[in-house]
Amino acid sequence: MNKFISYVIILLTSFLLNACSALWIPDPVDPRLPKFTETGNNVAGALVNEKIWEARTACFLVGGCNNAMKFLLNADSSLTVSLEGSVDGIDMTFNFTIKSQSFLTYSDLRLLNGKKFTIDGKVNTVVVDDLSRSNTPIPCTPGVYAQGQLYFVGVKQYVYSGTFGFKIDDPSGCGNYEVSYGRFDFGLNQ
Amino acid sequence: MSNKCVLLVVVSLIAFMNQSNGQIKAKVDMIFGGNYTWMRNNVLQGEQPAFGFNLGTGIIVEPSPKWKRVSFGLNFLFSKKGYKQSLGQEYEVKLFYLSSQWLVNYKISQPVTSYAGFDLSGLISTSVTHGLDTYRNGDFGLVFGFLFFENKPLTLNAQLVYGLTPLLDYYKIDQLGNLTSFNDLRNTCISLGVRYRIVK
Repeated sequence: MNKFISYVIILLTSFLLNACSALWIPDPVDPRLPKFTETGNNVAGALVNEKIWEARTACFLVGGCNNAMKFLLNADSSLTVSLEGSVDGIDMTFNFTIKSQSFLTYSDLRLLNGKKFTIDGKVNTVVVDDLSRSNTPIPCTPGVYAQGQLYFVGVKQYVYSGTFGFKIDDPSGCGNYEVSYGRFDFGLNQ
Repeated sequence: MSNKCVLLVVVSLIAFMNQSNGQIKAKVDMIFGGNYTWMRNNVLQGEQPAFGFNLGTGIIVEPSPKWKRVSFGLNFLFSKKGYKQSLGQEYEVKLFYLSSQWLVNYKISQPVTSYAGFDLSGLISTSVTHGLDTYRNGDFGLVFGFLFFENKPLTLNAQLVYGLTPLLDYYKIDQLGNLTSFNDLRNTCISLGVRYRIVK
């Protein structure tokens, strides 16, 4: 009987973890990155200055998951899209802010489907939150110098998939970033 | 090709040979060999060839004593193909196939027989997570090869399989994230091995 209960617990745990955990399928062209998919695999990847940046949704035994992708509706009707990942184990988050459309409620997120946003550093921006530079003495406001793109290829039934790439050449010393071949695929229920 | 079709062909061949009262001669070989494989493509980065293997059974049918130079061959093979990529570290994609090869053999001289035909392969497994969803499951190609000392129990076999169908339907993603769909990656496989005759 005890054995049976153990099996049930293992099965339930596996089910709960699988419900939101990451599925990393290597890209057939560049296996350093995850394959571009539109199935809610809960992974993202990119090359940051030729190093591998990756993000995976992590789930915990005690319950709940930390989604690596987050949406935040701002007071000025802009939208912030965060992709929380790491390079060589050091946290690095990309915070995209999109102002070119009114985002008032979370149901407006479906409007992202097929939308390509140009990151120009003025209307639409991206900020790199780089933990490896957390001890830098210079106060940084990166994002003004960003040039690139955020593309929501598919948004359907709470699955958000797309691509991104941008470049930040910051003369104030906040760091230069070349983020290329980025892709993401997340299933978010809320 | 489905297993039922392959079985049907084999049963038909055996039945055909039995009815021929010795007119038709059939030989059955075991096949073993090493593969040197790579992908013809325009998309892979840091691609390198990979080594694999093939093993299986081959049937050579001589339809009539009057046909001194021409015979037909049918090979059933399990083979490992694939490729490597060197991108800071080495990544290897192993593709495992079940293949049937339909061949026409032509005896050039006493020790040398050439052959040509086509190869129908089914991808049954890969070394990559969800690889069967990533790569096409069917492959069609041309086969060219030579058999040396074909009338001896141990025959040397050299073969080229030139894949014609693309194995990958995917997107080319540029640095900014623009997507362009493509069909690419065609198998090329050179095999060297032996055939050991089990039925003369």
